[in-house]
Amino acid sequence: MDPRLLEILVCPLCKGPLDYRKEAQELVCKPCRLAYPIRDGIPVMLEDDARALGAEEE
Amino acid sequence: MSTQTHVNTAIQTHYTREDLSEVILAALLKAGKDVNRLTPEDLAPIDQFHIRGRMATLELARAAGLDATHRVLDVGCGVGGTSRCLATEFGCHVTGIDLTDEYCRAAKALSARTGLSHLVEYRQGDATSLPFEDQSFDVVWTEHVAMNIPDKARLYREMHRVLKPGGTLAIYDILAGPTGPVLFPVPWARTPDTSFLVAPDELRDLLGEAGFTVTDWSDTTELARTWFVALAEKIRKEGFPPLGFHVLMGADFQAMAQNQGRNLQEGRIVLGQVVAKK
Repeated sequence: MDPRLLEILVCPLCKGPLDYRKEAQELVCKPCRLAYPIRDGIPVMLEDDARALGAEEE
Repeated sequence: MSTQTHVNTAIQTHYTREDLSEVILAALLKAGKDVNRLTPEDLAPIDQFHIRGRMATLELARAAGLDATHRVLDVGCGVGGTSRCLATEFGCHVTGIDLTDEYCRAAKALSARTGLSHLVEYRQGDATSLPFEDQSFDVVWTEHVAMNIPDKARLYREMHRVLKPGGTLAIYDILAGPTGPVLFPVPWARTPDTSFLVAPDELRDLLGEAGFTVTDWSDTTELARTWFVALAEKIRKEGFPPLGFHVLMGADFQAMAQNQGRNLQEGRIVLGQVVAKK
């Protein structure tokens, strides 16, 4: 996925910036402790589809 | 489960058709199209999932003053027909967002096949929780979407938030008509549980409350009636064509289409083409 395509994408809940984790194909919102999946190149920006970050995850 | 989540799940179920990209490609092959050299016109009978299809999209684009410098967000982009039409006809960059996974996938696949991947992109998301920075777009666009969204105040607030100052909101929506309740099923809902129509005056108030100034309002109900009568006559004579919305919606589309025609003719629904400024 082209990182430029992610430039205006934010967390749908807090509207804060996201960390792109290339290997996991996830977009992480640290304050919300959520990882939004990128499936087949399409970011899935739904709270219900996001993975809750584990306690040890940064 | 929250009300919003419950409604979202019901809406996703309503619109989801497994392997939609393959279903559409099979229909295109059956219609004699070269699926390796598709044009947006080839796809128009199936990918502009709103009353009066491509024609209505082009009219709204002209009313909204769209041009190649505009960055556009298409809220409820479906399989991407409108985004491809706007990218091809006006040269603008379009981001589409839709709640339904199969629609986003099909939108991406069809855009790749029409050579438009450099101008269009898709995100799966909720129109009332948009995943975009404030003031990201010149134009926010939506066709036949708000009727599935209960919290319209939040929908229009979100659209206002992501628009640049002076930006344009372009709406083409089904609204509640003056004469009575909607007959179900319709293409946007099989039951009243996922249908949330507002009357034109209510929409005007909602837009004002969200901070918009309406600059253009056309009631296109009569055009829609004429179009629907012609379409129904064609289907009566020739049967369902290989390419049509029934491919997206499945076996009960005939009942949906019949009700849609009656809802229009009997004034149970009306159509609004609206342009508003932030």
